[in-house]
Amino acid sequence: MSGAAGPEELVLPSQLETLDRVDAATLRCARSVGFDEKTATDVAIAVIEAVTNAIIHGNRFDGEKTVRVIYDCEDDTLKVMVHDEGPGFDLCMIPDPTDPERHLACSGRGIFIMQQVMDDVEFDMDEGRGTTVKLTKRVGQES
Amino acid sequence: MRIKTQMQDDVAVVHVSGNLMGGPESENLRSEVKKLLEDGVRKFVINLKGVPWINSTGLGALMAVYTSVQREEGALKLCHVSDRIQSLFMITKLLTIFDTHPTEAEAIQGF
Repeated sequence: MSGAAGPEELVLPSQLETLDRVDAATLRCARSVGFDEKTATDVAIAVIEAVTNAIIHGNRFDGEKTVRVIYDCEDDTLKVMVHDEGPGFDLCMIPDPTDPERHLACSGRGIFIMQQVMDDVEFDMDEGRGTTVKLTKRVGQES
Repeated sequence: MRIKTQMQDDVAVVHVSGNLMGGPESENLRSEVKKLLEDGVRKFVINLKGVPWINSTGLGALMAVYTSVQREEGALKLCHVSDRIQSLFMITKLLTIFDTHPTEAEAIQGF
């Protein structure tokens, strides 16, 4: 992670073992913005979901591809961008995990978790250039 | 992630340590419980004392274990669930699915 002022960035290999680094960086940024400990932890849970998706579904564990995580801590707002080099996906094809038929499903909760925790979740899919998930959380809008 | 199982009478206590975050290691948890089910074990406690956090993929492994135990008419309890893992259960609305206990002894007594 860069030590300079402004956005901070992690460039990670497509390995789940890197999630500990994401956790530590997210908690540090969330605390610096002013979130209470419970909210900072929830934000870390959401960012870990975005990076998990980027590693598993985006880059598909490809050792040649990286995941970039950019933290922008500004006043009372934390913005996190998670970028992979995968082919993208159709958001409409993601099943609703609250559907009673999916309640006991073993997968498909990552995006739901991000949406439950964060104030805004946006997906930018640029064919051939990967997917970027933009997560935003503002202090004072904790659930 | 490491897994170690101890039998306490007819209860299998599965100790998990490390972060439960998917990949082949989560598969080890599923296969450990599957093997015990094949051996006739029907009462399970998963001790999460050594698990600081899990992601949705690790949660999926717990769901797979839960459904496989349910399918064999067994029972699964969790103990030493961290606040952070409880938060994930709450966010995913799965808080009522898992029977959680503060300690291993209380989980075993719960059968």
